[in-house]
Amino acid sequence: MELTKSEWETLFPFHLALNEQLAIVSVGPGLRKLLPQLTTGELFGERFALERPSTDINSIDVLKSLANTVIIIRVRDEPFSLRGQAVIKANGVTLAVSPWISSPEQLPHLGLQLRDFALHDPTPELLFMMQGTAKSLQESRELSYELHQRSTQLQLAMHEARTASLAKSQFLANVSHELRTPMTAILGYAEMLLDELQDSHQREYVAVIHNQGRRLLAIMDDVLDLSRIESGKLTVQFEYFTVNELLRDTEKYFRAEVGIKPLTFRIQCHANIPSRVHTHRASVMQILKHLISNAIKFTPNGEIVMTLEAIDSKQGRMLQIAVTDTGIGIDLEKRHDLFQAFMQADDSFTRTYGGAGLGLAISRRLARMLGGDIEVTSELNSGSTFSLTVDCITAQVESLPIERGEESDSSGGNTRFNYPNLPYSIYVAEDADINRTLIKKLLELAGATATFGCTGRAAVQDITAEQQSFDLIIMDIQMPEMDGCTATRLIREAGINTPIIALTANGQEEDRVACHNAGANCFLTKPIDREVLYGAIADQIEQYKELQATVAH
Amino acid sequence: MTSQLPGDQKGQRQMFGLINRAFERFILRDYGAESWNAIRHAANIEASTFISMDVYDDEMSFRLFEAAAQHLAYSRDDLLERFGESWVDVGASAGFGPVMRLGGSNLTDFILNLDNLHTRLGLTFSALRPPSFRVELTSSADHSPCIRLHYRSDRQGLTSFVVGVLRGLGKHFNEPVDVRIEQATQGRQASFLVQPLSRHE
Repeated sequence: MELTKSEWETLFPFHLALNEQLAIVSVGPGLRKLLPQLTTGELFGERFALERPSTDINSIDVLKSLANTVIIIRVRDEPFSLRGQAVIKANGVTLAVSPWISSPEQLPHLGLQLRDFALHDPTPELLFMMQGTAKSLQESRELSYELHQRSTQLQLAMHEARTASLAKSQFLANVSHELRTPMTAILGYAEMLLDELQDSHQREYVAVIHNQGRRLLAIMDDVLDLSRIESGKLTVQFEYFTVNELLRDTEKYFRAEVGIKPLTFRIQCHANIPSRVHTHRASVMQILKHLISNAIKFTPNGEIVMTLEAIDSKQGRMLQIAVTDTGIGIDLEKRHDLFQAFMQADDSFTRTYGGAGLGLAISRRLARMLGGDIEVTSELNSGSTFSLTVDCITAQVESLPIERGEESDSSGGNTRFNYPNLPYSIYVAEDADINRTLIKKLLELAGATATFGCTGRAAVQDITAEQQSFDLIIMDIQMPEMDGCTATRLIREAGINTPIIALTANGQEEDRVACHNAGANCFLTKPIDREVLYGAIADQIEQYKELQATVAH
Repeated sequence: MTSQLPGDQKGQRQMFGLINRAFERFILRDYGAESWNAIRHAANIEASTFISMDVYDDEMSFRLFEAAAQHLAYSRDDLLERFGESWVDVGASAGFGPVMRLGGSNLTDFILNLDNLHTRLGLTFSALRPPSFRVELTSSADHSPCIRLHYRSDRQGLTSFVVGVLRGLGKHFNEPVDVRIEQATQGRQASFLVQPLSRHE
């Protein structure tokens, strides 16, 4: 079926017809638009060359032999090729070809439009595809660059955040140390003075100094704790401990806090509570101290009851510790702000009862860190109940009995302290003059002999010197030149196993761990509680003697 | 018989990101970054940018149009007309300029090639689902030449966009035109009369 000239022009607008002598006899309208200088009669080889197959066209027979092959024709001095096939005609060959454009950027120079292409010719689609690919590549590069920029910015922001976080940690540590060091002296000397004074008026004045010092210390601790919690610096380490230990500590705390108020303290334990729990003991004690302290503060007379019970909740079995008082109660409207920092139930409370309004805020945050919460129920003028729930029950309920102490009541306060007998040789590494003087006095009052060093380096030199033998070492952690942890490690590396009590103003878990890893046996926080100090000295020396006795056998 | 066209994923209609990207450029250029962020937020779109050759649900584009209309206090049609007018600059030419030249070197040629262009684009990018066009070269009552363009789409509500695109093309070829909707059916079919603006001056 022969095509007419018009059909050739419609179906193959870029066609090129050649006669037996390879002269151009017909050019399609599209090709004529691309090559306006092309004239009939011109020889094929003057304007074109065969690119593929790579062969010379020196006769029409060569072209005829390529009838079943894809041919690509290079157009001399032009940026495009022609792609198609050779169609054998009676008097020559017609090349049914189309422009092969390798890049859409060439299009403006070629001046072609859609209608220049046969409708069946997919060349425009190919160009769209190429343009789409180029666009995708361009956007990928842009996104990659933007990603790199943002990654760099993120790294910078993280670095700044880390630096700020380190600075904050250091600030908290420094502030804690700077505040606790003088507080150690204030409380320590006030206690000793209280023991030595005979005049009742003078004892009363010193008691006020001591009590207000403890109150200041409590507020200071609360502010630092809240700051640590809100900075994410407070870490909790879960541990197993007995409920009996908890009960003993809370009873002891009540006795220490109640003073001369006519209050009784009672503990009720349901039969379903376990004897051991798994949580952060220090945080639970801190919360209970806040709750008991508040109960004492806001209960003029009557009783405070602490109730322990295992309850079922959505999270599983939880320990609930409720502190109920018969105090002034809390107005319903004031309750929703109760757990906000710096909020008291009433502004007049601050003037009447004191406090910075941080205890409940801290307690709730701590409770939630332990997987629980604190709720309150109250009735004005009848009393309040603060219920702490803690996710701490991991074992089966054990049937071991809970030791219930006697009901505690107010003991009148200000009784003279009984100093123990600790006839030991103790080395104390402490850089602050005032604390050295205090500790010297405390040890002398207990019958101990104290030797002092002002830096970690001096401590290492003194302790590792030949002929030196101490029964116990008290090591302050924050010291100039060499800190207490480093000194402790060096002492241990020298083979000296004398018990070491680490003393620090920073009571954080990581400090405790650092001291333990350095080789300290025990960890105490400032301000120094003399009872705790004496207890630790006695315990550590006794344990060391037992160990030595065991090794000797 | 209904057949699922390429790009019909789970029966959802989809558009190329090029549309959303062009819309973003249009808003940024004419109304600023603050407006664009507000519109994106109101349309509940989290992506900070669109990939031109990726496909997105139609519904996302329509949410953007709706949010923009509300934020800029335009009617939806008014907004789409403005977007359409900017299309040649912010859409078609942005990275596709060379191939757009295949459409023609003057307004009449371009409109005549419109269906051809969209058909070929639809074959190349199967998710596109482009509208189809039919052109009548005619004359107005005062015998001045004009073009009647018949439009059909399987998407509803974009006739105002087409009006804007035609006006934008007129500006692009330096042949400003007046475009009127002669008839519209359910937002999927319409006839537009395109007349050179100089004829009405």
